[in-house]
This record gives sequence, C-alpha cells and structure tokens, in this order.
Amino acid sequence: MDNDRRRELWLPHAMSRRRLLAGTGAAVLFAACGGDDDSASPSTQGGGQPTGGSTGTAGGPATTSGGPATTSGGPATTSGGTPTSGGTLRVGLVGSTNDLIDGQYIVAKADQARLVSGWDPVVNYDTDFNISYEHSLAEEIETVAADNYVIRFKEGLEFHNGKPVTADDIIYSFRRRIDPKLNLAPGLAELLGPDGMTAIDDRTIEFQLLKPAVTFINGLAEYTTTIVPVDYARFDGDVSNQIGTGPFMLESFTPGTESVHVKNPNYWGSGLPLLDEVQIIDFADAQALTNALASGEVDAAVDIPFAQVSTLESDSNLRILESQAGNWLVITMAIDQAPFDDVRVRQAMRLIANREEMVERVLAGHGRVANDMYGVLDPCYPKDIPQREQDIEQAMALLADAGQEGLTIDLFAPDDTAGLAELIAVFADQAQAAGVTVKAQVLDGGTYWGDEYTKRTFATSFWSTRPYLIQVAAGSLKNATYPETHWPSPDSDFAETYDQAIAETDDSARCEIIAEMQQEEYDNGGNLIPFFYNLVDGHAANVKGFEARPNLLNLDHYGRGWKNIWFED
Amino acid sequence: MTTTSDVTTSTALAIDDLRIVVSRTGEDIVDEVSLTIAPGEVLGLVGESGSGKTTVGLAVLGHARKGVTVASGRVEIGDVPMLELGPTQLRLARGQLVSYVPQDPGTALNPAMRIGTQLLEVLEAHDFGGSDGAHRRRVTEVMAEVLLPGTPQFLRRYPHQLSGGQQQRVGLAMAFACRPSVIVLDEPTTGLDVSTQAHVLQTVRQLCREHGVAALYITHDLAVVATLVDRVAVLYAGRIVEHGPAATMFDAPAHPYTRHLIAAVPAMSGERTITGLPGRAPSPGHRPAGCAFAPRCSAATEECRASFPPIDVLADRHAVRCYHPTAAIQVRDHAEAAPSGVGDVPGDAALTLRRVSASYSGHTVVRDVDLHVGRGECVALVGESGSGKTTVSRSVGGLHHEWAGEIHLGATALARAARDRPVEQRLRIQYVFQNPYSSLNPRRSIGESVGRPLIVGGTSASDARRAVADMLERVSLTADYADRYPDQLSGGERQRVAIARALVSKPEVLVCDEVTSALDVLVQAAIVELLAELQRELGLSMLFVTHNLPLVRSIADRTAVMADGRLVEVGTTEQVLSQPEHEYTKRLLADTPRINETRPVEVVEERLADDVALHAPAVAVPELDV
Amino acid sequence: MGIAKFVLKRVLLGVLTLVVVSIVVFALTQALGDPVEAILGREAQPASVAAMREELGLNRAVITQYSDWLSGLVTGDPGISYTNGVPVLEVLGDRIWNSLFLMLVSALVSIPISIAIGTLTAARRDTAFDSTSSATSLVLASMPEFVTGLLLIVLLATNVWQVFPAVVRIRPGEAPWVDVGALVLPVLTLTLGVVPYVSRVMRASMIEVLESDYIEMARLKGLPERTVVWRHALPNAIGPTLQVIAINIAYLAGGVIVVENIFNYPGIGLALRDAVTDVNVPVVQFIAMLIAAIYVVVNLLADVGTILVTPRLRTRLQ
Repeated sequence: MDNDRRRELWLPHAMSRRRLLAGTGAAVLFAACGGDDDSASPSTQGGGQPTGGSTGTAGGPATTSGGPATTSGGPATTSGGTPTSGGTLRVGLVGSTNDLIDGQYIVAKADQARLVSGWDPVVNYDTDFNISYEHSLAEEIETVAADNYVIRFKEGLEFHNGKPVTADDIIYSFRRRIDPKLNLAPGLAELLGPDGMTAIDDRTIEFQLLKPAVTFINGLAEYTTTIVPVDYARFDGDVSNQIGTGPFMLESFTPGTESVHVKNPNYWGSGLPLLDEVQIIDFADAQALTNALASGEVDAAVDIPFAQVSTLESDSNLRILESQAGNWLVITMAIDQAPFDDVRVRQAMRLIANREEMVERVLAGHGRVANDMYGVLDPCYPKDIPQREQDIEQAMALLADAGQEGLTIDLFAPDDTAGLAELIAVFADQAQAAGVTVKAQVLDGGTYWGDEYTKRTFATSFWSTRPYLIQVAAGSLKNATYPETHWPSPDSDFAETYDQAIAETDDSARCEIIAEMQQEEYDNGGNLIPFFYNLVDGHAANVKGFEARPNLLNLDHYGRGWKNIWFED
Repeated sequence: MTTTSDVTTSTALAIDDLRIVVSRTGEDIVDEVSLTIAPGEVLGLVGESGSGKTTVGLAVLGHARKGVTVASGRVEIGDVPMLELGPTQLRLARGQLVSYVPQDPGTALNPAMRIGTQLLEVLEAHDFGGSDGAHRRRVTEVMAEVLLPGTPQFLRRYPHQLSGGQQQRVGLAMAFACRPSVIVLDEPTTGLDVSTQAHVLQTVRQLCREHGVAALYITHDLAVVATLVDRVAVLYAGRIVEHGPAATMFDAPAHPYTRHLIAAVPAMSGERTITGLPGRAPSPGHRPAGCAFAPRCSAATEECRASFPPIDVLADRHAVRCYHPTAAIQVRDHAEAAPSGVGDVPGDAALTLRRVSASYSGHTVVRDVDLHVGRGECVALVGESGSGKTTVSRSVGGLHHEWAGEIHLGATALARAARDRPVEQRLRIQYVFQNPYSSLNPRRSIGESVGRPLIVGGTSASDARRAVADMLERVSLTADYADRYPDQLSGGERQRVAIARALVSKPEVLVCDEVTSALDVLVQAAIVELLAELQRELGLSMLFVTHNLPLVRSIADRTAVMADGRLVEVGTTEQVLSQPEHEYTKRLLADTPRINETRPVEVVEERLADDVALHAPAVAVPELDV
Repeated sequence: MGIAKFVLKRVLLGVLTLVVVSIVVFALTQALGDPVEAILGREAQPASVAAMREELGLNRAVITQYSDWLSGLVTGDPGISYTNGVPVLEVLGDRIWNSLFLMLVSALVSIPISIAIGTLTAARRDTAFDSTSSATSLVLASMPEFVTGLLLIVLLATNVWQVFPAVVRIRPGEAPWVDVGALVLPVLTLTLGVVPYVSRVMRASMIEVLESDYIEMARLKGLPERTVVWRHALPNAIGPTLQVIAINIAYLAGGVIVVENIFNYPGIGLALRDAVTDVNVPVVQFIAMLIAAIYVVVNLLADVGTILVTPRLRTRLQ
C-alpha cells in the first residue's frame, strides 16, 4: 500500500477532509481538538514499554525532569559507529508545485520534512508518546491549573541569523498560530486568545486559556507549534525571511522541485547538526521516488510503496526503515441505521473480519493487527482487552439472533485512498463464509468524500496517529468533525465521560476513564478497525542516524530536523 | 517468332524466344517472343492493353516488374546479354546502352526535382563525356535535339511547370542523353493531343535516324505508328501473331486480329466507319489452348482451337501465325449513319449556346461560343487540350459555374450550376466523363450506380432495377453486371456502365466528354459504335467532345472546331474533314496520324517553337478534374 | 502570393486559433471547481471565503476576469498561482524550458530515426529486416509510455544494469543539458513512443512512392539504388509524412507529461497535474495555452515544411 495520502487527487468536496489527513496527524491535532473543562497532563507513565535509545524522556509535564541535558541524546545513541560531520543528504519525497514552507504550518509530507529542518517544536513526544523536552525549545512546562500554564524556554536560544529568541518572538509565534486570518491552528484558537500570554521574563511565558483543557499540552507537542521571529511570514519567494531556530537554514526553495537547507552554525544543540547540507527533492510519484533510491539518485526516500519493499530489501546498498505508527484504516458502521442499529449485527461484522489476512493482503504485512480501538500509541491504550479474532460461527449466531441471516449489504470505499478498495474486497471475501453478501462499491474520490460522506450506512475511512481524546473529538462524538459512525448512541453517557476525561489532570485517573471509554467502543462501537499500518521509508546503507521506533513522522521523525543524521565513510 | 534476318547488316537489339511468367503461378504473360531491330530502325510493337507489350519493353532493359519473372530467352543489345548482367552492370547498361521513354511523362518525371537535375543525373550516373563540363554541355545539346530551350531558367523548372508535350520531350532528352544504341518507347504519346503527338513522333523519328538508334515503339494505336515505324509486330495475348514491314502490314494484313485493329482506326477520309471487336483478350493464365484469338475470330476452326499455328512466312519478312491468314473475316459493318441534318433549324434545337464565355478564377478560357445541337443530332466539339472544349461541355452540364451567356435546353434557359437546376432538368441532360476509372463510385455496385439517377428522380426501387437491367443490355452488357463492382470491370466495360447510367433516365441531351481517350483503339471503336447506335435508336441529341478528329466521322452529323477558347469552324462533318476552311482545322488534320496515307517527314518549325514557348501554365487551367 | 505572405496568413490564423482556444480554456477552467473551496475547505467561514474571493479577484464579472487574464497573457503576466501566491511564470519558470527542451531533443532524435527506419524498411520490403522491425515497432506501439519507461528503468537504471539515472534532476537555475546522461532514458522513452508510428507511416508513404512511375523511371535511367531511394523517393515520401510527424510532435507535448512523471523530470507536465488537482486555475490556464501554442506552431511548421518539399505547392506560391 502506498502511504501517500494521494493529495494530488484532491477534489473540491473532499478537499478539507484530505487536507486534514495529508498532514498525517500531528499538524492537525488541534484542528480537531474542541475540548473544554479541567486541566491535566495528557500523558502518563503508564502503558508503553520503553524502547532503548532515547534517554531523558520524563513523563508528563508535571513531572518534568528532563531538561536541556537531553539534547545530546541524538547521534550518540544511534547504532553503527562514531558519527562524523559533513556531507550532503539528498532526501526524496512525493511533492508538488503546491509545496509550501511555513515555520508553523504544513499541508503535505514535503512541507513536514522542510519544516522540521528549520524550526524546533516547543515540546515533543518520546517513543512512548509521553511529553519530552528532548529536541524541544521548552525547558519546562508547569501546569498551574487546567487553564493556566507556565512555559520556560531553554536558555541561549538563537535564531538562524543570530538574533536571540525573546518573549516577544514567543508571543508573536503563538499569536500567529491562532490568527483567524491565517487559520493555522483553529483548535488552539478556541483555547487561547491573543491576549492570553504574559511574559514573566524573557524566556518564561504564562498562558491563561479561555477554558480548561489538558489537551493544550498535546497542542504544544505538535511539530508545527514552533517559535518564529516577530514579523515572520510564509515563504513567498524570498529565502532570507525563512528564519527559525532549527538545525538547518533554508538556502533555496523551488516548489515541486527541491529545497536546499544548509547547516545552522549557530544551532543550540551542541555539535549538531552533523550534515553540511540537506536537499529535499520532490518526486512526482512513489514509483519514481523508489527508482531514484534504487539507482542512487537520493540517499533517503520517504514512503516506500509496500509492494516495493522486498525488492529494495534485497539490495545490499539500501536499508528499509520501518516504524510502527498509529495510522489506521477503518470500516465504519452507522450505529443508528439498519441493520447496524442492532449491536449484534455490528459485532457479527467485527467477528467476520480475519485481521491477519487483512494485514497480509492489504498491507503486504506492513502493519499490525488492531482490536477495533484507536489511539494505539497513547500511553492510556488498554492492553488488557482481549484481541478480537475471527469467529464465523458466533457471527452467524449473532446474525440469526438479529434476524439478519443471509444479509446483503453495500460497502463503500473511495478510489483515491490506497488500501480501502482492497480492504472492502478482502472483507467481502471473508463475509461469504458467514453467508453475508457484501457488495464492494468503489466510488470516485470526489463523489465519495462529497455530500454523502459520513451519511453512509457501511463505509470506510482512514485516520492518522492521534492521542485517544483528540481522536474522539475528531470522529466519535455527535459534534465531531467527521462523525462517521454516528457514535455515541443517544442513551450512552460516552460524551459525559469524555468531558470528564479532558478535565482530569491526574494521568492515571484519566487513563482509567479512557480505558472505560475504549471498552465501550470495543463492545458497542461502529468502528471495525482491522490494523494499524507502519511508516516505511528507505535510505542508503551509508546513511546513519535513523532508528526504527514507533513514530509520528516518517524517517524517524525526519531525523528530528535531520540533525542526527550522518554519513558513514 | 524469328525473322529471316539476313537483310539487316547489323543488329542493335535481338530478342530471342522470350518467355515471361507470373512469379507466383508460373503462368506466362509473354511467350515465344523474338524480335530484332537494326540500328536506326523503328519497330512498332502493337497490342491491346494486357497483351504483354510493356512487359516485353521492360525486359529489353533487363527489368521485370514486381511479381513477374523472365523465365527464359535472351535479350541482347549489341553483344551485351541484358538478362544475364549482374546488378551493377545492369545499372550501367540502363540509360547508357538502352533507355526507356515512359507512357506518361506526367508521372514518370520526379515531381520534387528540377528537370535539369533529372537530366544531369543520368549523365552523371554514367559519367557521360567524363567531366562535369561535358555533362552540362550534353544537357544543353540534348535539349536542343528534342527542341526544348536549354536555358538555366528552363532547366530549373519542375515537371508540373511544363506542358504535357514538353514533359515528354524532357523524357526523350533523358532517354537520348547518353546516346544509347537502343531505346524503348512505351506509348509515349498517349494523352497528348494530336498536334503535340505529331511533333513528338517527328522528333523520335529524326533522332533515331540521325543517331542510328534502334527503337522499339510500343503502342495500341496502329495509326500512331503508321508514319513512324519501319516494321510492325502485333502482339496478342503475349505472343506475336503477325510481323512485317509497315507498308505490307497496313496494305495486306494477314492475321484476322491485325485486320480488326486496322478496322478500328478512325479513317480521315473515305466513308468507312470504325468498327470494334467484341469480347476481350484473354488474361494471363486464361489463354485457351491453340490460337488465343480463336474465340473472337469468325474464321476460327477446330484446328485453331487445337494448337497454336506455326510461323507462316508470307512474303518478304512478312510472317504470320494463323491457319487461315487469308480467310475472309467478318468485320462488322453498319449502315452508314446518314447525317440527318435536322439540327439545321435552330428553332428546333435541343441545346442552344449563345455567346457563352467561361473563365477560371477570372482567367477567360472560352469566349463567345454560339452553338446549337438539333434534336436527334450529334455535334462534335473538337480541339486540342486547352482549347476550351471541355469547359464548354462542363458549363452545359452545370459542372462549371463560372460562365456567362445563355444555354438553353429546348426553350428553357439553364441555371449556371447543376445544383441550381431542377431535378427534372438535370435528368434531361446527362454527362459521360472521360475517365471511367474515377467516375464510378468504387463502393457502389454497378446496379446502384446506374439506378441512382432514377432513384433521385423518384422511381421505385423495383422499377429502377428493371430499367437498369434493360439499360445494361442496351450497352451490350448483361443484367448480371448490376451486382458487380467497378474494380471487377475493364475500362471499356466501365465506360459502358457510365453510358448506361447517363441514359437510364432517358435524357434528351447527352454530353460525352472525351469518353474514349483513355481506351484502347478496339475498345474505343466499340464504344463509338455503341454511342452512334444508341443515338440513332433513342433519338438522342448529343454533344461529343473529343480531340480525336478522325473519330468524329463515325458519329457526328456536324463538327465544331475550337481553338484558344473560340469556335473557329462549324460545319457538317464531311465538310470540316474534307474541305476545312480554317487554318487551324487544316493543321489539326495534317497532324492527325493515319494509316493509309504516307506522309512526308516534316518538322513544322514555328509550331514547335510555339509548343515550347507558350506552354508555361503558371496557373494550370484544369482541363477536366472529374 | 509569396511564402512570407503565406506564413503571415497562417500565423494570423494561428493567433486566431489561440484566441478561440483561450475562450474554451477559460470556460473549461471555470468548470474545474471553486478554487476558494479547494483552498479553504468546506468548513471555511463565510468571511474568509469572501476575503479570499476578493483577493483572487473572483468577485469581478466573468467577462472582466477573462479580458484581464487575456491581456495579462499577451503582456506576459499570466497571473498568480492560487496555492502559494507566487506568479505563474515564476512557479513554472524553468519548467517550461525544461519541457520544451525534452520535446525538442526527443523530436530531433526520433524523427530522423523514424524516417531512416521507414525508408529502409520500405526499400527492403518483405525482407527479414523489414519484418523484424515491423514486429518490433508493433510491440513498441502497443506499449504505453509508462510501461516503456519503467522497463527501461528496470533494465538500465536499477535492477539489471545501473547505467543511467532513474530520475532526472535539474537543479533550479541549471540548464537541462547539464547532466546529459540523465536525459537518455526520458528521451529514449519518448523516442520509442514516436518512432513506431512515424516510421510506419513513413514506410507506407515510401512504399507508395517506390511503386511510382518516376521511381521505376529512375531505376531504368541506371541510377544507383542509393540515389533512387534517398534522392528520388525520400523527398516525395516525406511530404505526406510531415503532417503525421507534426501530430506526433504535438503528441510529445502530452507524452512529456507521462514521461515527466516517470522520471520526475521537472517540467510543465508535473505542474499541470498538481494545478488541476488543486484547482489552481491560473497555472492550468497558462499550461493549456502553452500546449495549444505548441500545437499551433508545430502545425504551422509542418504546413510550411510540406510546401517546401512539394515544388508544386511551392511554385504556386511564388
């Protein structure tokens, strides 16, 4: 499957939906975040096993201990010899003439790769999806209350041009993020007003929110929440305005062709970056990109089509970098429409699915089986709920109970999203065993994402990695941005539970609430989530510094702004 | 057949027992052909189309067209065996030892090359004279020999900038350029009008005599070669059936086929009408056993059908292959079409032209023509190409719109364009075109083509079918031709179909535009016979346009002669042919080749100059573009 | 009428054609969709929609938009790209020249090859050479560009031999011929797309010419076969082929889009694809007009070329 969101196929009606997803999640976390209530750190210690490597990732902001010391982590922890400096890295990705550079905004993956090279985020997630100060500008975030936060930035931060980062720049940066004219982060704009910031000193700012929401910290952890100098504006042809705090400085940019980023000699991370230059080269499509990697025209390639992976793996000069992620495809059932208004029918569908087979046939194995629950990277993801397996017998029994034996039903998918057409075909095959006739209907993308989207009884969709609560706001509430399953049912207290969770500042307490919500979706929800699929990238064998670990972004979070990457001689 | 060849002192070309076959099937196209030609001598090889005469001519150059192979025999030029040469030797022999003058200079000259270049390259290919200067001098010289100007301006012209006569002279110049010892002329004057034809023939004769070139002159028209050749060989179905000195052949033809050929030639004087010969020559592979002519021969006996007759030497170098060389054969004869003279009363005219002038893009080509065709009368309109005769006939037919004056059909004035005329009027005037190959829609069956005027006129399909069958029989075809398609028909058959199509709607006036010029003499004769017969039987009024003056005798009551867009002479056919008044008519008559008169060789110098200088049609006036 | 006058007349006709095309292009691009909705999304606030419409000049009368656009085109200012606010000419910039260069090189390579193959196969009709090359060209003609391109990549760039780069990278500001090796595969792909068609037409045209009377005559004149084929037949066979060549060059303008995708060649084809997707109307309009202009120019050249190689037409003009 091709991970690319096929943004080239945007059509007007589907535009906003696909634009949302083109950013692969993080950039739009806040766009979907509409919580209110209380304050609490969104992340807890619970859950994920620590993966080796990165150190200094302490838990939530309340328990901050990491500090600036963690910045040395990068290169030292990567396997394979001693890092050396110098060299030009050529990175290929699928891009277009619509590519843009904005220190606080992206549309496509190409924009992501360029943004991370020039601008550092305020805070970060670590491998376990906990808040981390490594690679980040903030030194500490103090949660005073659910609607009041104090952020202290690291000392001695400077922009590319040597100008020190001041409180004015920080306040300008946040005001720019919430500027309604720019519309960069509408979710943040709901929480923060332009006058909500007060400089305590030149590197400490107090944030007074319009309403309590622990998800504010998730917003800070987006890689688009960066610091830009006062009067910063989007690239409009002049590279000299593209000033940030990141490891590389923009030297040239031709949308749809390439950008060149040179080492920031002034970078705050000591001894970093290692490379002299990064070239980010746009490709028309994934096939051309893969060919370029195979023939050595690029050193690294973002998103290798799954079908090509085995071919490239056999090349000793290449390495495949496969990272677990929280991206998922889904079959959606509208819980208020027949036959899915009967929970037995919904459960029957979920029991029909053979998820292992779906991973193999749809993803060529590049993913892991899901359990009808999303937010897999969230530290609060419940691991004790049993994996749902295919059980045709029980499915048939449930259907018989519901009076839906020999059910015949249409299942829709768009033609512009890789994997969905295959998914419904596989499901249709599997359903036959249970006497269910699924008619796989593949629609033109424009039609699919048009007026009927979210109104269909039996359909499909795709989502990127999000913390659980933010995903709930995006898709599982009555007033969600895309209420695909029409969840929750009117008699459910799911919405109240959500409100409770978003106001809960205590991590473990919130995780308990989340577990409850997950259980309810597992038992009664309308999502049939077969799998989470991986991020699969490739690079030349002599490129070092990329590590395979659970990640939000491709190429090991784009080498955290490429600063950890180096060439082996 | 071999000739008793002790008379000629030397032999320039000797063909011995030549056999040429279809490569794929092995069926012979040409068989047992033997000929010799002495230097300076011209031999006429006469035959119908399909008789194999061009195949023989090309074999002299060691060339066989695609799909055809020389199976056996010898061709020797001097002592060079043409059929045994390797590719390089053959290439060197062609153009230098033996050269070829093609039938249609319009297509045989490269349209994309200047004539000077095409001339020069022959000399360069054979390095004639050994130097560039010699090549260029020879170009000028040979241009003079063929009576064309050798000026750089003229040599820079492209073929399309020359008249037909000039093109053929360029063809002659190319052939004579390297002073070959043998030249093959393949109907080089077909398509040229009589005057030009006469002058080209003069030139050929002169050059052959002066330079001692042996010429093989291929033609279907005996009249053309009558004044040119020393000897004649008649080819029928790939075999020579008679062979002898020209005078003997014309005075005392021995083979029935030769006699038919002579009967088909329109005579200039005397009262004889031309006659055709029914049937068709057999195609290769379908030649019957015995004498191939037997099926068409009224004198044929069992013997003829059993075996091909041996050579019978009749007299001095006169030989024939026939069992009954002296038997009287039946050459069909008609009662003379008595000129009715009814058309003399203008008031009774079927067609009247008054002060008709016509032009092409403002360029006037016809001026003030007054002419009428009486009811039941046939009027011939005669002239050379460019005289405007076809423009007149096209104006009558409504095919040419740019004309002024009046044309009346009976008492009704005709609109300029056919499309502006009522259907009924259009059906009353019918038109038969020159080229039967392009005038019939290849995708329509004969029945559909012939019946179309009726369907247009509102006749029911079944009535039309009956009328078509009837009409096809009237033009000596059978009703089953209705289901055939044009490509299954011979040229003569197609022209019969075209006539049937014209007559099926029972028109009052029939316009025939050079209807026989694309046909062999025998076929031509048959078509003219048919038209004369139909005209008489149906009481048709006919305008018969032709450049072939002798032909009019057989059909026309009156003859009108056109020159340079004007009518120069009108009178009864007898008057015009025997007592021409206008100079132009006299010259036209003088230029017309004929069999039974020996004409002195004379080059009409001023006329040639005319031909050279005046034909530079920057804007070619389309004579006919059907 | 001289040739200059004829050319002038055809140029004027071409301009007229382009004006008509501009109306069609303008009308069709209106049907691409609402660019504002494409940019802002369906959930956009009415105020931002209005502001955006104002900014893009979409609230003007359609006829004003058209005339402004057309006068902009004529004065070399085809407008501003909707998606990133950069002038269209700057967005496309070198891409225009890159694409034209690719087309030109492909034409210069493929046309002589086609003519040579067409001529040789006609001259050696029904030989092994002829049947081999016609079988090959049949296979090639049946393969779409992207298949040919990918096969060439597998063969010559990645899996089998790594002789040429699989992609073309032209740095901004650099000329497309800096890395000649990289051009080999794209040019080869386009050439393999064009040669089968043009050579087959050339072969047919040549066979017809070789069967003509004047070629038989040239042989009977004792000219060497080489002269017969190249000097006598070729000029006559090229005339009818020119129009096909023109169609194929114009087709190259389309083939270039596919080939640019395969080889990531930075040309207008890629830009067009992106622009259509994002309802980037000014870019779509400009590229459409550019391709139309190429058609007009190529056809004009073919007409003039036909006249130059056909004396009958040439002398008529003089």
